[in-house]
Amino acid sequence: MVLRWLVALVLSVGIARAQFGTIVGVVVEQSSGDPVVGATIRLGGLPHGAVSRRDGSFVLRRVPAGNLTLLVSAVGYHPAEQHITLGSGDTVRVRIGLRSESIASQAVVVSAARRVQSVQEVSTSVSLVDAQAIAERGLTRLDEVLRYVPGVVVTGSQVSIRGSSGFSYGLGSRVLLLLDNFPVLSADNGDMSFDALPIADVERIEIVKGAGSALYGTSALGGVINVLTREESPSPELRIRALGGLWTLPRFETWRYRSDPPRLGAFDASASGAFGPLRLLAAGGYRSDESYRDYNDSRRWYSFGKVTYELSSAAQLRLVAQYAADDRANWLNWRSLTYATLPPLTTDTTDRIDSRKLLLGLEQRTIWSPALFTILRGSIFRTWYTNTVPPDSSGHVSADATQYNAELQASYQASEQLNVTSGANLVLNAVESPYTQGRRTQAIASVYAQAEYRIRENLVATLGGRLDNVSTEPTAGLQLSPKLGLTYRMSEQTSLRASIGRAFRAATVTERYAALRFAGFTVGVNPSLRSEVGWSAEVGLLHTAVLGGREWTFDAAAFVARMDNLIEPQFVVDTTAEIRFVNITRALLPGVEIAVRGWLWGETIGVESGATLMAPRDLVEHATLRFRHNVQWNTRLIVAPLPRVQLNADYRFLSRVERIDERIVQLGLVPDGDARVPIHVLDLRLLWDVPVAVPLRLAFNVRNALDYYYTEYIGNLGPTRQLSLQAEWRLR
Amino acid sequence: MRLYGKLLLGCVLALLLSHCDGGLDPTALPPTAELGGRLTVRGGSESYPPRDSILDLRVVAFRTIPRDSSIIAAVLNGQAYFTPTSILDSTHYAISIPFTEGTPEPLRLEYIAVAQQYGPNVFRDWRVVGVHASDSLWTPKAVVLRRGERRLDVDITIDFRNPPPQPFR
Repeated sequence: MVLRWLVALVLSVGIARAQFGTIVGVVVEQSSGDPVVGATIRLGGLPHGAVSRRDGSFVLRRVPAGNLTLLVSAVGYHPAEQHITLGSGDTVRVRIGLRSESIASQAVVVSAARRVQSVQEVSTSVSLVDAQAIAERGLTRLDEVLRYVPGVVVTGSQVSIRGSSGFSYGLGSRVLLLLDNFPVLSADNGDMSFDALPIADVERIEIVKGAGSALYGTSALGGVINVLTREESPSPELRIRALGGLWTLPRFETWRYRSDPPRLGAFDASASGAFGPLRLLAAGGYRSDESYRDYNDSRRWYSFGKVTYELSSAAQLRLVAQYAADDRANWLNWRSLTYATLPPLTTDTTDRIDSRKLLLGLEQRTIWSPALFTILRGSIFRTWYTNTVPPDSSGHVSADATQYNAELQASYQASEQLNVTSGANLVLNAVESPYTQGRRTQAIASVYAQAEYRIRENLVATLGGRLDNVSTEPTAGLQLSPKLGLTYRMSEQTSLRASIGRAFRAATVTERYAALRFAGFTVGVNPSLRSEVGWSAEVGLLHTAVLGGREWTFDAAAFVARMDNLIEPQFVVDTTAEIRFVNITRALLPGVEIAVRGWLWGETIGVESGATLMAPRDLVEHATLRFRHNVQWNTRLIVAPLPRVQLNADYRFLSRVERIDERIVQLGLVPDGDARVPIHVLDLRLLWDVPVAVPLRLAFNVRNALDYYYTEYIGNLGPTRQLSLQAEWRLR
Repeated sequence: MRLYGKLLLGCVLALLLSHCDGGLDPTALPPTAELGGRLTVRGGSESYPPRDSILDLRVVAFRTIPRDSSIIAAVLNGQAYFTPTSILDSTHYAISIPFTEGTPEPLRLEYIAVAQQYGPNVFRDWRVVGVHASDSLWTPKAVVLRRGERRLDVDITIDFRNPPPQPFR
């Protein structure tokens, strides 16, 4: 029956011939006619949405014919409405003017409910990072982007949302990572591959905070990060970016591992265009970094492609492909604080890591009627990893891991008040590695449903849940993750939100089956490892106000999360006496988060500031939870002294980690492992839009301008001062 | 930019600069002390037991004379410190001793020994094969350390054939 339904769905292309059209438009500032970048465009009562590009343009495809209302908003402008009539098969062109000194901010998100929503309709906290913010900061990796988001802390290769993760050498992410809605956590370690993402061609990154398993299943214990690449351009477009820079020599003689400043460089380019019903985006890049530390250099290549084919006015097929290769030194930790930029003396510095990632994703979207649309999604995410030590030697490591993902999602607008999103998901993780003594597999089958009911015009309730069956659980593998949310629109400017939900993270194949020697100790398998589980709740307020004639956005939230069965490596004293991953920790993570954004004195100074205050507790040891920062504060100032010139400053503060894993220090695994201080990082940049025929933007970046020294995680000096010059051309 | 803007920027920068001192400093007094010395094997390499019976060999410095062989537990409890890796075939050793919260200063190390792991149980299967001693009768010689101090003359003689008296019960 199910198979028949799936076949019918795939063949639906020819029969789903509802009456649709296309809206092509441009959003401009009403008085000057200048394009408005990043404006959000929605269709009243429909799940369609778009964000305006740098030239203010946008396209909405497969829009049901009829009388429609376009809702357009942007930070710093009055929202606008425009009524249009769209005929079947027609393309309507619109020009929308926005007035300055606007009121309400209505950015759209797709990750919170797996459909397009205004931020003010979302019952959980969501942070957005748009393409402009990424480009202005000259960022090339996801971890660099996430460091500027309130409530998000990056520790090495690990991302923590509101304290969900501490430090575990990147194993078992408690935050789910998606690329264009396809999962991209590795099948073996469940870790993030920051270098495998085409950050230069990202349209926006959505960070949904709090338990996300009700819609996304395993790993969404702390939240979900969805990296959404930009839409393919309807007209030919070429983007080229080049960056060159250096790490300044550190103040301390013993940290200067070379006499000249280490260099870095990056180059990436993308091309986009349309050929009838086919739209293409192709991108690729290379990055080389000699690093501020010896034996930490890296070379990375990536390529990315997105092909969208309009099967009909109601159906679309999209292929997403990503390949990344990474050749890097196998840095683990410093020799000591005195020699913080050198590896331990016992390190084999000829050893290198060869790491590759491949994502192939296929998605079919079908609009069956103005009320029903479905998404059929399948993907393969494969990661290879090996070092250069010969396979028969004891220091050899390698793994070949593949995640197969299949998913069917349906969104149904049952009435003006009720919207239902439901789906089924099957994930298979297959790992082949000497660590795991051969091939290991893990299957997770899931069904989910979420209903959003508009109780009153200004009150929306969300109720949903997901049932996951994890094949590797020692006992009943069922995980039920319910969620309840409420959003209350007090006025056009103010909305309240509240939510509570459960989440879980299934133990990864590596945590369960890895057997190896680490720092002289044996790491043993633990097939009886259970899933980590947790509940999180929050109440929040989003308010937009006009102060001094300019718009300000305030977002405040109070949250608490309770997590059980947290997995940590522990010495196990039994007949084997070895290190094993065990369910050991219970934690309570209460906190508050405040974010403010607005402009001062006309558009002379822009301010973005966000602070997160937490009191994370280990309920087993009755002490502060390890590897957490209690205070995080990010602030960004944007100053525009001249029409084409902008000065940006980003300041990040993280309070000193109160507690680390004392065992690492006691056992002498990392010399000076407890050396840690509060983190103050100031980044400065100067942007200049050069008035030449081909649009050129130059950016001079100074990262860690104060050359402040800190540990990002145990025995690892954080990035020192870096200078770089970036040039970006956009040809249309 | 108006004067207010300049003032605000100036205040913010002044606030930032006044609240950070440059961060980590390797030239500051290190929060560790270093213990090290020469290792001498009585009878030379021929006196070694079969290599497969030496699963691990480390120098361990105890705050008090140990009463059982749970060396790892003592290290984890902060009652002992050991070399980060095996010292098999080494002629010298060095231990970095962290002065964390609760570490007394000066730190008195009563018993500094070379311990051999002879069985698979990393917690229990240890025996002492050498001691930093004040005489040929293996009388333990204590060492006192202060924060930042380096003592690299704590030599130890190892005797696999006639090991010192075992302090463990």
